[in-house]
Formats: sequence, C-alpha cells, structure tokens
Amino acid sequence: MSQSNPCTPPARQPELVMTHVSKAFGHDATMVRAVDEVSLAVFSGEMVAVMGASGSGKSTLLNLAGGLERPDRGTISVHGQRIDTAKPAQLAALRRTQVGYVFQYYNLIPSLSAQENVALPLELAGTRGRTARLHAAEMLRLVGMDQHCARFPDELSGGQQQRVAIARALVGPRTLLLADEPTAALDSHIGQEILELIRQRCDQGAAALVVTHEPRNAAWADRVIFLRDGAVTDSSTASADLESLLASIRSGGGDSSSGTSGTSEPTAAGAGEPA
Amino acid sequence: MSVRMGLLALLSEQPMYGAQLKHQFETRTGGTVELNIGQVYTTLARLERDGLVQPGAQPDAQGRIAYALTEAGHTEVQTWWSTPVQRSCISRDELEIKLALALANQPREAMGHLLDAQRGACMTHLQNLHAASRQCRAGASETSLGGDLADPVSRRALLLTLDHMIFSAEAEVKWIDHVQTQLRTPPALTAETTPAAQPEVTR
Repeated sequence: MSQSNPCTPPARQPELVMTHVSKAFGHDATMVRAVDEVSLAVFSGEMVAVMGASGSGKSTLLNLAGGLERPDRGTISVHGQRIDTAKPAQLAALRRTQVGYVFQYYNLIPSLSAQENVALPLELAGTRGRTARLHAAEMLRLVGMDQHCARFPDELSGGQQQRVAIARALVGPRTLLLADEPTAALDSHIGQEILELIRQRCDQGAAALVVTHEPRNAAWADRVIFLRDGAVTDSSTASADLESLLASIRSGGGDSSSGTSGTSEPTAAGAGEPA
Repeated sequence: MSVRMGLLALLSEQPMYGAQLKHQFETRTGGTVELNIGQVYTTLARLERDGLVQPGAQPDAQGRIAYALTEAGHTEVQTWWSTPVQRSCISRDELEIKLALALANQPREAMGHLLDAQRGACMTHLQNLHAASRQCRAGASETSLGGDLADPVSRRALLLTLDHMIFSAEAEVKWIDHVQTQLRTPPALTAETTPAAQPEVTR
C-alpha cells in the first residue's frame, strides 16, 4: 500500500476486501456463528480457494462476499465499493457488472435458452441484444457447450447446466468471480476444465474466490484458506516454480510426502543389490 | 531395481554405450531421475554377470563399447512389461508414524494443531506440484524449461511423474481430513484411545 519506494511495482488492486466480518444465524442457545471475525483480501490476478468441512462457514463467507448476505459486523468492499452498507439497487448493479457468481445449484432461468441465460447479465448491464448473444455464444464455446446454445435448461444434463451457469458467471468483464463448489455436479475431467477457465480469467486479471472441499480443485489457487467453525485456521500459498521443484525431485530430497517413492532410488541402487 | 530394469528396457530398443544410456534414461524419465555414470557402469557390470547383456566385440571410433541385450535379457524385459509392479504394504512413512504416535502421545488440542499444520504443508506441496504441472503443460514453446524438456517425450514423462505426485498429495490431504473428522467424532475414538493409554501407566 505504501507509495514510499518508487521501485516497488504498482500495488495490485484488491477486488474483494473483508475486514473483521462476522455473521451468525439463529438466536441465543441455537445461535451459530457461521462466519467469525474473518479478514480477507483477494487481489486482481489472484485465485483464492476456501476449504473446510461442511458447516465450516465456506458458503456463508462466499454469500457475504457476493452481497447475498449482510454481515452482522465488519465491512466488505468489492471493486472498491462498500457492499455491506450498499442499497439494494446499488448492490444489484455491482453484482451485474463486477461479480460473476457460480452457485452449487445452477439457478438457470428455465424459460430462457442456454444462450439467452448467458446473454442476460450482459443485456441487463446495457449491452445490445445481438452483441450480448454473440458474446454468450463465444462463452458457451469456451465451456464446450456450443452445440447446445438453443437448448433450454430442462433439456440439459446437470453437468451441462452447470457449464451454462459457469459461462453466465464468466461472460463480460467481471472482475470478481465467486464460485461455490462449481464442479460438484461435473465429472472430474470437465470439472478440471472449468477450473482452468477460472484460472485463466485470474491470469488475465480477474480475482476469484472458490469454495471447495476437494484438494484437487483448491490446488488451482494461488492461496488456500482453511475455515473451521467460521474462523480461518490456516492458509497455504504456492511457493515453488517448476525449476525449483524439479531440482528437489532430482536430488531426491526436500519432499516429505509419500508420493515420491522411486525418485530417491538411484542412490540406493548403486549400493547393495542382492546377487 | 528400477534403474536395472530401466537400463534393460532401453537396451531392448537398441544397443547403447554408457553415456548414451545415462542420457536416454534421464531424458525419457522427464529429468526426474539423475544417474551418475559410475552407477550406470556398475549396473551394466552386474547385468553382464547375470547374463542379461553383453558388450560389443569392437569399440567404436571413439573407443566406446556398446552393450546389447542377450536372449535372456530380452525375456527379462518382456516379463517386466507383462508383470504388474507390486506395491508394498510396509509403511516407512514419517507422517504415518508421527500421527500414529501422536494419537496417544499428544493432547487432543495439540493433535488438532499438528493436523492443521500438516494439512497446510501438504496443500502447499499440492499447489506447487499443480503449478509446476501447469507450467510444464503450457511451456511447450517456452525456452525457460530448457534442455531435456524441450523434447516432447521427456515432457510427457515429467507430466506423468508430476501427476503421480499430485494424486498422492491429494490423497494425503484427504487422509488428514479423514483423521481429523474421526478425532472430532468422540464415541469411536475415546473408546480406542483410553485402552491405548493404559499400558503406559502400568509399565
């Protein structure tokens, strides 16, 4: 944040800032602190995964970030705008233009075709119909659904509906992507392709917050935060590149996981092979 | 074992001399295994002793002697391809031993911290592997990968190894989650930990 050193690269833009955010449900004895004093910033270009057991507050955290829930305490800003105090109309406008939301359940509009569903947020944001439909078709192609543009949600499988929902979340210049178990309904191959799309968006400058309980999905993220009982217990940041990883594989050390059996064998093979 | 069989498999493609074998072995395993030349010659000597390879009669112009498979060597390689690798059930993994001992040795809260820290470390490892794999996949045209990895065969071999590590790391994170879930469900676990603590007291 400091501007004192002219040599430091320009500070990245925080797309989402949550400060001491708490949210509880229920009253008194039955009260559940779904999110408890969480502070979190997600920057442009960054993909952050939220992991935790079910009931740990992951989805509530995401709903708070998307303005679907209001916090009891704390502040939340998206793209520099406070959303915890925003009026419903402001919030709706911000969600239409800046935030792409992928729900666990697809929430497609049944009376609209796949292409119309994807074009809708663009049209609501003021894009002309024809242009919006062209963008929508392109986005559907990127999620492998170009064959199904004219289909209605009830003519699509669960996995196909989720891909349409993801296309809808990614279409247009969204700066913040929020996804709640986006691959739950997909087979693992398509699931990984969807995550790759989210990853690409981040590499192009978007910010993403992805809730998942799958380590494989979280591995796409730059940073993983762990939630338990609504509070952050730990976080993990990717730290190695291919070259340093290769160096540690070759030297057979620096890796404590059990997954590397075989790589350290060469040193042993020279010593004592039974006759 | 893997070096011995690896050299035999390479020689089943064509006769090669030591330095050639070293280079082929390293390239074809995506640079994940580094052999020293002494090890190659020691292994070749053993293979020759066992009647699986034989050195060529004449050195080439540079004085290098190529090794070729014998009939028995070809059979050995065929058997290797057609026999599944047997996984050992013997665990020597530090993490398994550490967690097993921690169950009775560490107070429950400390055990929780230990598991949290371990999950974080495993997750970082998984993220790093994943980033490396993405870099490797994307790096088809990049020179930064350098040397061996410019070769598609080598890159594919490296991806194979990285994927193996990714699956293992993923399994480890899930295993830690599983251990933690079991710790948080009191009935089954208190029943087990109480007797485990008793022998210590009597000793």
